[in-house]
Amino acid sequence: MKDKEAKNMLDEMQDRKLLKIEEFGFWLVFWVLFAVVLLQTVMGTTLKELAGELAALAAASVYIAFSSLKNGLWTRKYTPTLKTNLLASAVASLIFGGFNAVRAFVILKKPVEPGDAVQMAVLCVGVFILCFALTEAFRLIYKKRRRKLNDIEEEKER
Amino acid sequence: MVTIGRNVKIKVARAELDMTQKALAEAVGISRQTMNAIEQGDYNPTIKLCRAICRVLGKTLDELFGEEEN
Repeated sequence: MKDKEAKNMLDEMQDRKLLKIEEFGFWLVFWVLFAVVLLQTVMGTTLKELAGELAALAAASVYIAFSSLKNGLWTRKYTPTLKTNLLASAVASLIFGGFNAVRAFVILKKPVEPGDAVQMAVLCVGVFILCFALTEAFRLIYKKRRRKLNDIEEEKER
Repeated sequence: MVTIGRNVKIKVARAELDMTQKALAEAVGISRQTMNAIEQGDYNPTIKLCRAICRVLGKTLDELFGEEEN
């Protein structure tokens, strides 16, 4: 509590620079962790063994997603539309499918069986539906939140 | 990113009061590094800091941070 109330020893420029450093540090940790999880999964590590890394990634992702939505923010470069969500979900499902195929048939050397293609396709479609449902839900929440925040700003302006 | 030019007006106002960059920085509660960055045009200060600088130098916002008329 005392720490919270402690005076900020940095001036505004130093504070802004530190924020940028912290931001870069966060994304560095996030993507390195993401790469480590991918690499370990490819090498056959079980989900149980990866629980710690996955929990850290999930916590960071949930925080970023919900804080952004709460503040009515999406990304810097893209606006949320049905088209971008469809495209992003398609890319995610293709990457997931490709990743799983490499893992199963190249790394773990699983013999190719007749039903494999169908199984992979079902998996990809599942990922696509999940991603699309999630991004669409986020888009609707974002729009609602944006409207509410703009209304508040208008009221304050009076 | 918005790039801003060198702020000579702050330097002149400082010189009029015979004030060093360090003294001005201390008076407004920032580091000399930040004060130097403002004068060099490497940092765009917030309106709060601009007002603090104006108060110490006895100038208006327009005088120190207003756009130059050609």
